[in-house]
Amino acid sequence: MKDVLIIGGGVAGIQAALDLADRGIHVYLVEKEPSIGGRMALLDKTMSTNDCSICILAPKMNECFSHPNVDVLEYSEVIGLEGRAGDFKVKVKRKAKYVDATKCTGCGDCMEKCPTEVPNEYNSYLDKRKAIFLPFPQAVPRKATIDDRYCLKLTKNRCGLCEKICKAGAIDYNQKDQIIELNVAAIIVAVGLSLYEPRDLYEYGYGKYDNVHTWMEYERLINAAGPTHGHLKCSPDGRRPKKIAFIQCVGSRDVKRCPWCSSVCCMVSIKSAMLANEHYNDLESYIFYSDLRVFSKRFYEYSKRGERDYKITYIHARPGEIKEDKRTKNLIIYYEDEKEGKVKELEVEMVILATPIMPAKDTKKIANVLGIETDEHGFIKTVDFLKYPVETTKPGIFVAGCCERPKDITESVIQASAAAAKAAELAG
Amino acid sequence: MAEKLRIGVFVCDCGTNIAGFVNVPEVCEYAKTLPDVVYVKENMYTCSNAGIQEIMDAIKEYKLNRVVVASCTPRTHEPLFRKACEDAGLNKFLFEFVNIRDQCSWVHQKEKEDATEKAKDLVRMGVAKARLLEPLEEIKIPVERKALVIGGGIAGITSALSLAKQGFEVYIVEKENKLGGLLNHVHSLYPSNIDANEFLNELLEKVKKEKKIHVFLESEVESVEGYIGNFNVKIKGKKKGEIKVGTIIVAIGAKPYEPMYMYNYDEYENVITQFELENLLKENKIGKWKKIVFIQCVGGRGERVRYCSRICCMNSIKNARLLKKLLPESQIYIIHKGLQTYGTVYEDYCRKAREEGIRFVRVRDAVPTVSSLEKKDGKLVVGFYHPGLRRKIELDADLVVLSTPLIQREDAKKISQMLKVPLGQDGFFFEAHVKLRPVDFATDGIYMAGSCRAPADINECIVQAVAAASRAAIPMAKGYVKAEPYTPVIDEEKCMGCGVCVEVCPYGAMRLVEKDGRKVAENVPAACKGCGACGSSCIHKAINMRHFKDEQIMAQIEEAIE
Amino acid sequence: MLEGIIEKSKAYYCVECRKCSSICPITRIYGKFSPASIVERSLIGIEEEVLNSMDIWKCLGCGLCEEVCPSGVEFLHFMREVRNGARKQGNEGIPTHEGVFESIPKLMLEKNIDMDWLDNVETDEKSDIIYFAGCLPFFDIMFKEIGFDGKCIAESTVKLLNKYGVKPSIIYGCCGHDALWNGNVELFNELMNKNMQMLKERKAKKIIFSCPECYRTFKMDYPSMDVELMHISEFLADKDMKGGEAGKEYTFHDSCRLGRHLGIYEEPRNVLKKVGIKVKEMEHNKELAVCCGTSAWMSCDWKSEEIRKERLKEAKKVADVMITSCPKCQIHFKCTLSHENYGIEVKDFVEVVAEMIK
Repeated sequence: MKDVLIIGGGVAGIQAALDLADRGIHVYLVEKEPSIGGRMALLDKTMSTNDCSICILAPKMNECFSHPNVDVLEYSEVIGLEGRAGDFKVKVKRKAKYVDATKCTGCGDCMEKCPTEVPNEYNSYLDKRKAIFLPFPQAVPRKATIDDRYCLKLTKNRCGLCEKICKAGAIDYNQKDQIIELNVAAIIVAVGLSLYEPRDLYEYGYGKYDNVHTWMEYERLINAAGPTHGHLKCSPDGRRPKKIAFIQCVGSRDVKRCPWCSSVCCMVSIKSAMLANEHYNDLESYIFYSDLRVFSKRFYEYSKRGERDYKITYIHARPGEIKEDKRTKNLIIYYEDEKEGKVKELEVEMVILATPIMPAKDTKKIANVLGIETDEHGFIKTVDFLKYPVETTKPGIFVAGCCERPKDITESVIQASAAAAKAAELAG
Repeated sequence: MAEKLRIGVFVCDCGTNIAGFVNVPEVCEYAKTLPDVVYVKENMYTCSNAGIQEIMDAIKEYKLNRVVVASCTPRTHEPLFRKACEDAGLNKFLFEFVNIRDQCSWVHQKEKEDATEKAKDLVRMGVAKARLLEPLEEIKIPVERKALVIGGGIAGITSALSLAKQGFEVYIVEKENKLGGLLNHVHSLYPSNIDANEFLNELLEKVKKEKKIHVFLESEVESVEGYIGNFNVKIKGKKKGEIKVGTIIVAIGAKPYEPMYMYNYDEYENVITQFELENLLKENKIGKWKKIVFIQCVGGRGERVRYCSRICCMNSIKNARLLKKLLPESQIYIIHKGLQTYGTVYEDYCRKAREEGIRFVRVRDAVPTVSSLEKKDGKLVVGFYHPGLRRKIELDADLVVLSTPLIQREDAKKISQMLKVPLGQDGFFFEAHVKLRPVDFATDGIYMAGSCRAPADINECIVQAVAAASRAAIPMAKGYVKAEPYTPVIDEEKCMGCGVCVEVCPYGAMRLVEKDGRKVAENVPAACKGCGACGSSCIHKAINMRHFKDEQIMAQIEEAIE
Repeated sequence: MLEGIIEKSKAYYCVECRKCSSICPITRIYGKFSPASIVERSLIGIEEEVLNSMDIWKCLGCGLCEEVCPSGVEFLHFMREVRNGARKQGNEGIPTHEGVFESIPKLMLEKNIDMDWLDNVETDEKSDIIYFAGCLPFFDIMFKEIGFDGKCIAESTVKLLNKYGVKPSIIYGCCGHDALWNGNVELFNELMNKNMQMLKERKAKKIIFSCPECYRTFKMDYPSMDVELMHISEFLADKDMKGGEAGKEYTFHDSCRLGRHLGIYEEPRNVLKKVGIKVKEMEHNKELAVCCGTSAWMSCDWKSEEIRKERLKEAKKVADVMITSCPKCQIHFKCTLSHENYGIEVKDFVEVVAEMIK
């Protein structure tokens, strides 16, 4: 049996890896972050089931990492490809973490003492992390990583505190990037997604008004492991919101920006509203939508439950603009009320914008390296929507998850299993 | 003669995670005082290479026959420590994990003294259980490298082809006299508008050529006995047979809802369902319709069934575009409650429909979709409340197409009982986990694909089918499954054969068997998950769960309340 | 009839999200007018109602709806076509000022206006660089009493051109903007042909505008000509200049035609900066600037007044003087200021630049 390479360690990559590994096929799982888990590890709860996201993913992450048939190559990137289906030669760059993984136990002492604070992409830039860090508490592998863009020792040859503090002696500033070559029969691309930044939708004040957030920022705010420990806090005094508005299709279904529908945001907003109401029993949520996308199994029932039990009001309108009350920092939403036929104002303490899923930032780069095509929106293209829904334009390379088009966790997992079956045909 | 207990206790500092908030040396000293404990070690990081080596060395040197590690969480580290025991020659189920991090140091960070006392209590409880642990075996059960696919529609065919390509024999059992399911009744498929027959025939050619696929037409599954790896299947019908398979994929599909007594469907000739329209398109019986109105959500979204049937919006748009091409002068409206044209491809498809002149009209999310459908002066008139314009609108039509949801077939109940797999509230099959195991049943070895799980279009059916094949291939490729060691021990003297445990088991792992003229419960280790539902439901106290026996748990409780 | 209009303006893309209505300045204060409602009625086929209504004349053509519409509905195009259709059925709306501004374009069709009314400027009849001054002379007669000074605008423009070595030839004429936006396509075509003929005769190479409406019409509504078109702020954008002490706080009102229609936001601001004025932005600025409340002299009423009042208040919050480049905007704002003093002055862009420049 031959090996399979999976690029991307999110839920799709992990599912494909486990499916292949469990049947005895050896898998290399290349992930560019220091931990596997992808976007799902950073969500608070999953929609339609309201499961704690990391709680259901972490066992799979651990199973994957410790599986005898899986080699996780974290903090690594695919930089070159040669060959054809059944016999690919792949070059992978393993970036230096400057930490000896065999000694590090993830105790966290170094992170506490590191003096350098940098913007924290894992908390959607809502707070700061250290230059030596764990992306999130449940990271797998639980090993520290030094970000060489910011580390004082690596950039300016100063500090060096972490080396002194580490009881296990795991810090190694002399580590170098490694290039390794893999020989695999098939490749599965599961590089995931990025999210649209709605700064150019001036009418909504994102980036200008303190209490306007994107849905990913909200996930981190309401997450107990996030920057506010799960409490929703509004500017300027940290008070909790009593009314939250969710605005759908901010940047999606928009010919000037992302013309597609992001498939999941309607459900995500309903879930977020439910969570907020669970947190604060009197909290009312207003979801402003054009078409409520509730097409999957039990989604429609979920949306009705939200209305019935969680104080959600669905308003069919896309707001024209949002103004901020300079004193209270509350937001005033202007929308046309269908029932009354006039423009009304709704004052809320927090606005969450549902921004679309876009291809991951490096999708074009990885597509070029692999020699596969992307579609006009930048997602990985499949050969035929009906006949070859997981095959990319190069034989032997398959695709799964949001990098192919926006989809939820269930559909990513299904597609990942399907890609694994196709890969197994070549590897088995 | 019972072996003398020699328990080793390893207490972990976990760097400062535990040692920072619990006095670990004190806990170690305490552990030494516990009866049967012959070796105690404090480790900085028990999970490090050095720590693991220490466990293995200690087992050998001190002839330990029970190991207790007091450290972090079994969620992440149990397999690691168990493997250390196994590698050192000790049965891995003679290991007990005590969590003094997540359940002690992390939650009592400001109470060092109390935390230390609690850690001592937890270690004492762990040792109490360890005394009563028994070695367990994980038996390997061989798996037949053959699969059964129930249903020969697009999902069934695709699953079979995928499995065959992966090297497994597949049996497709199909009720009708030909394969294809609903595909036989559909004209074309979105988004490429390919002819459905053409598409199906391509696949059927592949099925014919595939020697590993055996098709039973006009046949049904009569009974299924057994468990993963070893299902005994009886097939009845035109082709009879008895086969033994390792896995089963349920792909019986769904059927369109008939809108009887709704929207004057029975009364008026020109009010038809979507599938009737598909048929007319197939047979080229297009009338000279000038005004066509599609009405969505007829029977769905709370009207007769509670769910949204997912595919009807796209289907209507596909047919609308087709009709517009065939009848360019016609005026076509689609009345909907919220268009489900999600994703990249479908949103694009809908925009093209708009460019081609199809008009979309949104109505409120109320039941019924339209308020009236009557005949006035020989013409059909569809009346509804337009929420945007806040008034009643009437549209003339010479053809009205009702989009009805897909509903579960009648055989679903039979299959559900036969395989002991559940149906959800919406009538469709209920998966093991909505997010992470969407095509698996909770019962091992049985999977699902296609519209029998929830309404799905061709793309989704195909991806699900290949995914189900992937899941089914795992045990078949491996050739064995490991039986769960945490199985129930059944005291046949106490068992009354009441069958409650069989009812309660979510995995179909309990059954009643005849022994000496009476019925007693028996466990199927291959299907068992060790959840303990049987044990806790047995009123006759005839069931004791291995590794979590009553006496083991009672010993821990007694230590705790001491 | 509306079918064709729907197709041309892509109104079929409308998903009824109502974003346009919720940002429309008219809908904000008068719920019965709603861009979405007009499109929806057309899509559902209630043609006669749409073509016979007075609603369609309330639109300002400001383009806020199109700016925010996510589906690509060209509402401005749609409105113009619908107004044209309505006219054909005898629905001509209610023009302001007794329709005198509907007559003036017809007048300018017949006559060639040749005025020598500017002082201290250098012009050259034979120049192939044209300053298209539009219909400025007519406004002084009507609006001098509210403080509008068209002569000053024209003079300042030419003086600035002279400063950088350009002696333009001046053409007065009606670009046809109002006719087009009021659905009078026949009149517009006549005016357009006349202007294009005139430019051909003058062998024009470059045309400079001070009026955004003229500029927009020439650039976007006339067929493309082999002539360079630019606004005076674009001309000045790359020129060296020095200014002085501002002394007051200034804000800039982006007129609809210069801003959203033509996309020119930075050039006027950069020029003002060069002469010493740092523009303080209003709450609604650039792409989201609110219209002055009246367009093409149609339907000017209490709603327009309300819109202007709000806008002037918005300006007052950040500045003492509101600069704008559009003569129409100035007329409308000065009209409102003549009813009540809101504590803010309205001045023309070229006027201010010419004053401040050293």
